[in-house]
Amino acid sequence: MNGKVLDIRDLSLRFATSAGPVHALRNITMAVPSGEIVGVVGESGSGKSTLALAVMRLLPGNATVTSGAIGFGGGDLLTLDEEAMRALRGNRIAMVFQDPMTSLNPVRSIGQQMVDIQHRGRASPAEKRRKAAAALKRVGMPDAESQLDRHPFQFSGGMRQRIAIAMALVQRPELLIADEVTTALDVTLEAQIIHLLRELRADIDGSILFISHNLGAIAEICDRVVVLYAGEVVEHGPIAEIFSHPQHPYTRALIACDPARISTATRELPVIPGDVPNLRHVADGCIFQPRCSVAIAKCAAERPPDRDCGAGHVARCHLVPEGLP
Amino acid sequence: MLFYAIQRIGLSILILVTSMVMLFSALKFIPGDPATIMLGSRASAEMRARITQELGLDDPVIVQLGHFFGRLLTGDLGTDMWSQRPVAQMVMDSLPYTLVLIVVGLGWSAMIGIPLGCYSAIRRNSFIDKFTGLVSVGTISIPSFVVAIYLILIFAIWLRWLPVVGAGEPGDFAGQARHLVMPGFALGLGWVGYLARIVRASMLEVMGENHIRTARAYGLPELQIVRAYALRIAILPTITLLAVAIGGLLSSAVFVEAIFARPGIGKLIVDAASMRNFPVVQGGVLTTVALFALTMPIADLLVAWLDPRVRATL
Ligand SMILES: Nc1ncnc2c1ncn2[C@@H]1O[C@H](COP(=O)(O)OP(=O)(O)OP(=O)(O)O)[C@@H](O)[C@H]1O
Ligand SMILES: [Mg+2]
Repeated sequence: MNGKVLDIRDLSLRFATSAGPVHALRNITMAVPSGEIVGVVGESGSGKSTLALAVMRLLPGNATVTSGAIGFGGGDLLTLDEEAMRALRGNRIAMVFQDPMTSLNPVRSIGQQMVDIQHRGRASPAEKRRKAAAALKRVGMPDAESQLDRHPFQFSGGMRQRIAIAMALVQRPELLIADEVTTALDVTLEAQIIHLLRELRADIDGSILFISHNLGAIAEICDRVVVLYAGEVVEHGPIAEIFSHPQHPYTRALIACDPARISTATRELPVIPGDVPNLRHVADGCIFQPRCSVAIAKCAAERPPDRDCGAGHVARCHLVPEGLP
Repeated sequence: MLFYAIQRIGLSILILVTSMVMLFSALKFIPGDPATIMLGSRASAEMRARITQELGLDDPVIVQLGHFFGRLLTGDLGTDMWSQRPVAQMVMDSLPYTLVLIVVGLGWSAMIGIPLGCYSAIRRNSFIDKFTGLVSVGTISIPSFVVAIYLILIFAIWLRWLPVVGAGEPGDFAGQARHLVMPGFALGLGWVGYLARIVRASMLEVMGENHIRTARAYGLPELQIVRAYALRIAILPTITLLAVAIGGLLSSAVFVEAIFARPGIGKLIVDAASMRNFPVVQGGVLTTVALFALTMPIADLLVAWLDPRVRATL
């Protein structure tokens, strides 16, 4: 083993739309070391969900992968046939989707759905039901046994999120992808879910790809973080490194804009000036250059290389000196 | 749930009462002397007097309406003016022929239309999908009596495979079944396309929902996703539509029965109308309306039973 559960290399994909192709992900290279929690942070529309769906191979029909490889379990997920991919889903890779209100089936009971997902198991239906109840109990669902016969609409958003997480953990996947699992929740619930994920990692001995646009949540749970901007990884590295020595101007701006760090004295909400770039026509040069406050002439003309800052810390910026460490 | 059921059935009773009043007044609004209209202008004066007296046509309208309702409540639909048989009896004799025709018509169209729509949605733009789209438009726009006439031409007159007239001898099931083939086909054909289109649209919508993606993310077999996760939801609007279909089929059955000379309730009404036998027309139409008024609450309750979201709000 090379110690990486997930190893994405140079992944690019685009969506076909009536207004032309949208280059949603461009040359993504990132990895999830086994046993670690890796955060993916980025603004809305930066491609976080698209990245997760690409790993699951559940992209919408108008998406085309144009380059790259997604290494998992010694092979490339992109070259697997549909049957082989289906065998992995929910079994070795599980995903908790962004919107808990719509991602559970409305007419099947929680118990039915949690038994259904154990379709590969040879256990008796009663045994599968017991396993489902145990998973619910694990995520802090009170009175788990009797909740199995209820339907999703009978639960609050927070409870549905727990159910979705419980479902993902029934089969003890090697990799759990959690897409914005705390975004829809209030602060106390968010803390509970984060605590839960941390416990679960130890529990199932797996790795987690934790997608969020909340730096606070990322800081609390992740070992490493990947900063996504407009479909590109602009910086990635160990969590402490990124927070204490951010190299990319976008990461710095992101940390400065984190509501948790805003000075209560001035009460001013710092924002990154400018708009997220149009992904239809990706200009030459650095993708962040139009909004960058420290950009130099080279930034508009030339694509920045991935600069190694040491200790697994990489930033895609001209301003990071070569051979920094 | 109980309250909901009572509410739905109450609505049906209201529909029924309204249609009774309308049926009753329709006869009153026909200009001229009702007895003359029924008997024709050449009937003798005594004949007219007898009919007038028998049907209580001299009484004030409100008294007539009262009598009308009173009789209906005891299950008395009046008496056939020509044969003097009770109308209720005549309706009961012909009703089974119509019911079995509707069940066959709707049954085969559902058994073909629903899977076809389902398949078209899953294999979008496939040959079957395009074929279904074409056939749907075709079958929806051809009236069932035209289909009936062509069926008779081909299968009864040219090929001589199937009998044309009647419903077969009582007790002879094979014969009765053979007599059902063409009328059933003619009656159901339009609904094959209709159901296929509705199910297709409904399935396409459901298959695009987030929870289907979740089911796929757990590697569930596609067949199970389609049946247990998607069709369970997509079928709900179809059930309501099927109830409406029964109303439409009841009226198409009139033509189909007339063409194939099936002794059903449609034929009973048509024959009675052509002889101005109003009590029979009235009884037949009322029964038909009652049937329709009954299917709607049954469909609503079925949907409520199948959809836990609806069930919970009751
Ligand atoms: N099916 C699609 N067709 C066309 N464009 C799409 C499609 N899905 C996503 N996109 C585009 O791809 C980009 C990335 O979207 P994505 O949903 O991955 O963002 P995200 O980072 O998950 O955002 P959020 O935080 O709001 O969930 C966006 O610009 C979006 O408009
Ligand atoms: Mg997203």
